[in-house]
Amino acid sequence: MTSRDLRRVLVVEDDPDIQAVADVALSWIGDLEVEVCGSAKDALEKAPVFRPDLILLDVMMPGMDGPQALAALREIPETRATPVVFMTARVQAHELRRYKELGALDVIAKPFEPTELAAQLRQMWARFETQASG
Amino acid sequence: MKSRLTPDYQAQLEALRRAYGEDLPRRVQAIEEATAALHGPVPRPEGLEVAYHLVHRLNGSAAIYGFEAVRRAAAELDRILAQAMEGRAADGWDAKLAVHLEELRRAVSVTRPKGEQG
Repeated sequence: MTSRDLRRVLVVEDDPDIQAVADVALSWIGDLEVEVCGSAKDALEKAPVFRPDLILLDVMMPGMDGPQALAALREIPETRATPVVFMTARVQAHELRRYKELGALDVIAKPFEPTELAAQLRQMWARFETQASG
Repeated sequence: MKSRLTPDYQAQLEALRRAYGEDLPRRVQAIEEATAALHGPVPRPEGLEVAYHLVHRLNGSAAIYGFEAVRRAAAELDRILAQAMEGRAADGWDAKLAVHLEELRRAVSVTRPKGEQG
């Protein structure tokens, strides 16, 4: 069975400056279809409609944070199995372990290089597809 | 996968970077105002969260936009304010805050055209 290409990414990030550069990095440079949400609440409303292949989720957000948002996404049928990649500046080994234990596919460390963001997500997606079909 | 960084995309990123750089003085002023309310032996909790989030955002975005010196200063401020938020403000924390605020001002001043540097 041929694995699918990554096409649609939901970006959940409260910082408008990071939203802007992630949008350019993924849609213009990465040629992906991108929806940007400014909060976990926004993401929980948009994700079931947008049906992303992958969700890029900031960890530290006011109100509902990334881990809480992940748990909430898992309660929604449309996003129960959608791979989630956390985005955070907190990338010490024990924190990475915790994110994986929470169910994240992987973690993108901040600061990220805009010109490499799409390629990084595609690599993570390929690994997810391989595991899913294996 | 080969980079798709065509001149159009480079121009788009550079435009974002320029706009971000032009906004840095305003962000620093907001941080200065927020941190001015904190001075004293024990940081006032009502202002801490405001100051922390302003600094944390700057710390998170400055390096992505290529302003490494700004990020370094913001990272130190982030660390000091995070400790204060956790009730672990070190002795002399406000003096250290002032030192790193000055570093932040200097880092931002060199991002501005020479005629506008304070």
